[in-house]
Amino acid sequence: MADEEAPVDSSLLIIIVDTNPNQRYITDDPKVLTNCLDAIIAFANSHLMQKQRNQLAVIGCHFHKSEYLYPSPSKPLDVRQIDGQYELFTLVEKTIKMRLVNLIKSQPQDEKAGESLLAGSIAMALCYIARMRLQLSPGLSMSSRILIITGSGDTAAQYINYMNVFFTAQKQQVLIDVCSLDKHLSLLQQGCDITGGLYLKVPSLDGLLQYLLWVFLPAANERGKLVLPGRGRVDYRAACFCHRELVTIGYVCSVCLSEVHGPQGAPGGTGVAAALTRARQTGGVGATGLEFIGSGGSIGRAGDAVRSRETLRASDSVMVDSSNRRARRGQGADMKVYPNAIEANIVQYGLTQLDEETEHPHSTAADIHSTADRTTKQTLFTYERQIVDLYHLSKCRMENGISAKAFATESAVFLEIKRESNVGQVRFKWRYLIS
Amino acid sequence: MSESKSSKSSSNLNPSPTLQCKDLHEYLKSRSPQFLETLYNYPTICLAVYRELPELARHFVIRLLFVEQPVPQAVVASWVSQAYSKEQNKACEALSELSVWQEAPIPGGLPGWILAQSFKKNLKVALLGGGRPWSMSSSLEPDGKARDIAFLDAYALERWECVLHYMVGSQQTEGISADAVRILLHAGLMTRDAEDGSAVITRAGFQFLLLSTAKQVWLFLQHYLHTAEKRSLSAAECLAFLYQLSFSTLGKDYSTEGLSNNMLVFLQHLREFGLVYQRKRKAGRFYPTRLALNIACVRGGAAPLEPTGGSKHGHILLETNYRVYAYTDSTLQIALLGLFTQLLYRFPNLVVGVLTRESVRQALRGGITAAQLIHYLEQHAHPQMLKSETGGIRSSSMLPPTVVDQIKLWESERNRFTYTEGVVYNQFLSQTDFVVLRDYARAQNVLTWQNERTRTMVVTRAGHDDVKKFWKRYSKNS
Repeated sequence: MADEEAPVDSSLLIIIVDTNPNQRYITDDPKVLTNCLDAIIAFANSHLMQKQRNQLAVIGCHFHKSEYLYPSPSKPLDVRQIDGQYELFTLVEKTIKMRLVNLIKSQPQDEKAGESLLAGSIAMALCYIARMRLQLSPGLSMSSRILIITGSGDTAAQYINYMNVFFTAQKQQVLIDVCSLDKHLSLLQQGCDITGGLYLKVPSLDGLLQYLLWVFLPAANERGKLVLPGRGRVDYRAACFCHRELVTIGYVCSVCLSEVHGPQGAPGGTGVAAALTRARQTGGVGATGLEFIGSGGSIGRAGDAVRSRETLRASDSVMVDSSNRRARRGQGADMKVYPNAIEANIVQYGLTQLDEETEHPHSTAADIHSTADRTTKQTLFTYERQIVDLYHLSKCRMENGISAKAFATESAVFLEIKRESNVGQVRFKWRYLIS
Repeated sequence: MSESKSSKSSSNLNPSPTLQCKDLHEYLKSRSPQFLETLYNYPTICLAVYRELPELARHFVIRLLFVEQPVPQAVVASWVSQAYSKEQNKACEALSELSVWQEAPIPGGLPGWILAQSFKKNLKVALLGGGRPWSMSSSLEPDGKARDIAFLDAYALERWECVLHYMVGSQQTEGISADAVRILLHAGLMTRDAEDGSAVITRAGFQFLLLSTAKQVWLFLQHYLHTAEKRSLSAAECLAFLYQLSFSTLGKDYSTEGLSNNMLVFLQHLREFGLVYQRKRKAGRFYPTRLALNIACVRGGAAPLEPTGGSKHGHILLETNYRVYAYTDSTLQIALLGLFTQLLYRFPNLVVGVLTRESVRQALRGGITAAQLIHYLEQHAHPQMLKSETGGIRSSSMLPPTVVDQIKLWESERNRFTYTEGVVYNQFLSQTDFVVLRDYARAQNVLTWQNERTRTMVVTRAGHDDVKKFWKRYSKNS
């Protein structure tokens, strides 16, 4: 009996169903939801059919809350077979339908339907996976994945929450698959790419079950064996913290890693410019660099006196760490984060796809951008004007023999260098000159 | 010249016959296509067969499930990436063997596959609903004396151990029926003693004891089904009922209403082995136990659903110094351990033994294989063993690798011979005759051994006919 090799482990699938009533396919024809739900239930049951130990959870994601549709947190329903269907499958179907009705009934009537709380649902799913892993009997392994089925549009309002759950999932080795029923979803696609899952935008809702069975049924270890749709191109644009909009060029704070869309700052007193202004007012600029917290509009420690060398080091190491993290996400995009406090504003740049609409007309980045050569990839440094003047800039250029362009705005100086040049050398010189 | 045929039977070739435990796939493969055809009329069987398929085959089936026309074989092949074509062939083979799909020509003349009609229909029923409910699920009044899962586990264990105890020491005959004994005898697990006619355990029986409980039950039931056919019970019906049980929910009661008389008899037998619990023969309801539920996971690797938190979970600790500590007081477990260890100390709840070359070889001589030994130790490993890491190396087994390797080496040192079937040619009248025939056999690549001095040669069984023909032709000509 040599059949004891190859440990067959179980697989846990968590399906997150977006039940938000303002999805377009539901508003067009509410009956489609029933069809989609049937397809999803059939898919869930086929997952359970694969192996005896396979586990399933379904989470309904509404605009006011997310809830487990299966397994039911309370006592399981007492189900008797009504036809030839396997009892467990009947239980799954009945539980999901019953709890979904409860979920929809519980929605606040007077409130307008908002955005689906997908990031929250993913977090719930991750918690569930963690719990199941704890309960796993020793010696067994379990692979887990999350499938998101949604017809909602792309929105960046939950950007930070999304990124948090995506990276957590990546760390927990949980795949995130996304099945989009309506529009292309670039943020969730990023999540798939980060965690190694599959992204599919269903061309038509009629064959939903077939799409699900073909693409999403194979477990992680079987995916390599089957021919499945490829990754395609992933749009890695980040959302700025001030407006929650996807930006092509963003500025990253060296300390807190928040991204803002331009150095001029955002209305409402947030952003780099505001931080700079205030820092200058309190006289604490020097070589400290700047700190600001993007979304809240509160400014961190800009008013503090010159930071000691130690704190600088500390923040440097944070930067290195996080730059690795970002670098993983930034494949494809040219994002560079420099561990130097003075280079406070680092530019993410080099996305191949540029969307004119998302550029902010008031930002200087846009101006620079328009002058820059769009095809050659470049690295941009920005420096505060007070520290660097154009004399230094020209000197640096001459001494290195590197062709570079400089731009100065009211508050900052930008240096644009060809990508092939030795950036490290320039930076060294630059620091030398400044100090 | 004479040729002495040494017709070795297969038992000669394999001096220590090991117990064969077929899984469902192998069992069904050995049955006729007509039998399979009747089986596929039961949704339960379709579900069970589906789970037994290789993983790629499962995806083939699910992709073809909603397709009505035949699908070209080339298309099916294109679903799998090139690097795994071997696995794909295996999957296709499995599907054909179990007649889950058939070859069907496509209008363009290309060969195609189509799922067997009844299989497709009934798998859909099991997955999506429709059709008639399974025979045992008519509605019931709530049971006033409902039994919980712990009770059922204890009951099943007690019943099954009863059978095992009977095998080890047949003095205790209460609680086991003549039918069960007949099955044990039929399976060759026990045999009638020549002197007093009492049943004694055979070597195969000891191997049986080393199997996991799920496998024991499955093997036992396989033999039951064999004997069932003689008792005018339909094997297909029994098998379908068994799988119905395995797809039921633990701790839930089911109705006996609507079961045929044959199935009621079968149910009583299952009750005896502890697969179902019934308070009274005429109770009208029964509870399937974990033994019945585990039938579906006999296939290697799929660890059975063990009762959680039970003390019976595992009790053996194996250390790198070959010491075995078993926390048990069951005479059965101790007897089993004694098969392959040298027992040193015995305490009320603990037995200490050591694995030695002699003790293991004794077990090997008894027909137990190293794989079975290792599997037994793994199966009953103490939870503490499962937790311990093997020095950062994630090996497939939680046992110390040194011991596992040594057991395997002890086994392989016994297998220094390789057996080839052959035919001896000797007593040649002349040297030339011998040389001619030998050279011919050598040219045909069928010569196993030859000695010129004694004019003896051995050719393989496959080459015998050819060489014989050549010899006839040659001797006629000369």
